[in-house]
Amino acid sequence: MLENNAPSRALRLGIAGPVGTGKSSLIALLCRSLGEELRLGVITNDIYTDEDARFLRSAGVLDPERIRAVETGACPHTAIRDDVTANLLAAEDLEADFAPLDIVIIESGGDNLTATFSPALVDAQIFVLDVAGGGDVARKGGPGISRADLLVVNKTDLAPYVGVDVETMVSDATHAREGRPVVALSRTDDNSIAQLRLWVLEMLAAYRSGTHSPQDPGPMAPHSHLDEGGQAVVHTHSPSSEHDHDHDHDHPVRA
Amino acid sequence: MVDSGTLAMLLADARLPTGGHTHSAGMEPALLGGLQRDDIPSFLAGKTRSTTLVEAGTAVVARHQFISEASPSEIDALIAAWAARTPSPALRDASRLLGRGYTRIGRTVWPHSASIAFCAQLKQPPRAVVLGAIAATTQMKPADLVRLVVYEEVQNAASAVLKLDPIDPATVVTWVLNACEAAEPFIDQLSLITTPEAIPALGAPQAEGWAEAHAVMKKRLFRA
Repeated sequence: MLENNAPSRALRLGIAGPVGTGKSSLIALLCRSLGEELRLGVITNDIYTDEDARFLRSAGVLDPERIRAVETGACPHTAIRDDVTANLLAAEDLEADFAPLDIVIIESGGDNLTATFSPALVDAQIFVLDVAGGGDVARKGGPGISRADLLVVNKTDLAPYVGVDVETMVSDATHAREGRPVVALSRTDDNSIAQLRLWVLEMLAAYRSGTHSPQDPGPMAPHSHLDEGGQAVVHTHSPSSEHDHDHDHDHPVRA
Repeated sequence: MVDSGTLAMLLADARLPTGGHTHSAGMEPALLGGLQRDDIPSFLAGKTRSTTLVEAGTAVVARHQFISEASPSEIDALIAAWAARTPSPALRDASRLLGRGYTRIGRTVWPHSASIAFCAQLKQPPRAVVLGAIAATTQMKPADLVRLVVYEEVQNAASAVLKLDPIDPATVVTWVLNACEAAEPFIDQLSLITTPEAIPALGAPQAEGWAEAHAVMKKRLFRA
């Protein structure tokens, strides 16, 4: 039975998160720490085509031919959720040209907190925040923060300079994620890199054994309503779950 | 059976996930190549009377071939005829990406279609051939197929202007209608063709040159 579930193609791993949180650097880090043992390919999405692809190629972490950029028509959000075609075709081509690959990493064009990958495109996704974006961002939640397969709180080495308490930020994130994993990452902290590496290897193993199924963090931003007593109730929706509260109201179809 | 006009609307809808939003139908290449805003309406109308008719004609012949169960070598000859009339490799690549996007949707929506399955086997089918296969599968009328190709090209190019040289979106709507009107005199006759030889052989060397230059530019919003 398991053999039927075991996929034949590479794991597709999405990297999402707001602009400037370090998605490209994270990918460079993954290539450096996994490039010896795994066959990797990278697809970048950018507002202007190939900014990130050029950064990664110049970082010298991977054969430049294995790093491809796709155009998003100025809609990076659409390219990873509502119409993933351009990315799917690029992933297929990369896998065909360098078969066999172990992981195709797909970097989203930096968007906002609501942008997450559709499971039609990726098997698993990492959402990236950084301490410089503010210690309260993790607490605010959102689909990527709450339900991505892994949340990375990046640039922890900068925390003292931006007045953020990393422990509190990670604890807020863990709370928002109901126990899903969080890695507090710094490229100067080898222990944190080892944690990230381990998570990727475990995800790859789970994907290959057919025990991991892609999750959709959902496109909805968290929002609030007044309850009957006049108190604000903040919540999010997951397309795969029932309403998490019991009062009736209308929701916009799109956030 | 879904009405032919409804199918055309579905296939022309920007919300249909085919990767169309990453293309500008030659508009980004043109603007980066020096096309001025005042000339955009003429550029669009010129497109609909030239290269768009190559695309539309190819789709009509593909539809006919799939309905009449043409041999694979006949379809190869059609693709060769299309390629000969589309000299820019960048534009052929863009068309093949869009073709794969439509094939992906077609395989899901019409899983029993032999024509669409054949396109999937081609690996890199041009968009016009895939649209012909979908039209054959759904019994879309040839005139609706031609208008679909014309509208899709014009709307794709015109919408890209909003990202590249922002202007009141209502103005762009007028450009689209005017360019579609420019194609009307050709539609009845084009709808009747059945052979690759009958596909118009109209080129747009300036636009093709812009597309080639665009393909090697570093900073692009769109594929072509």
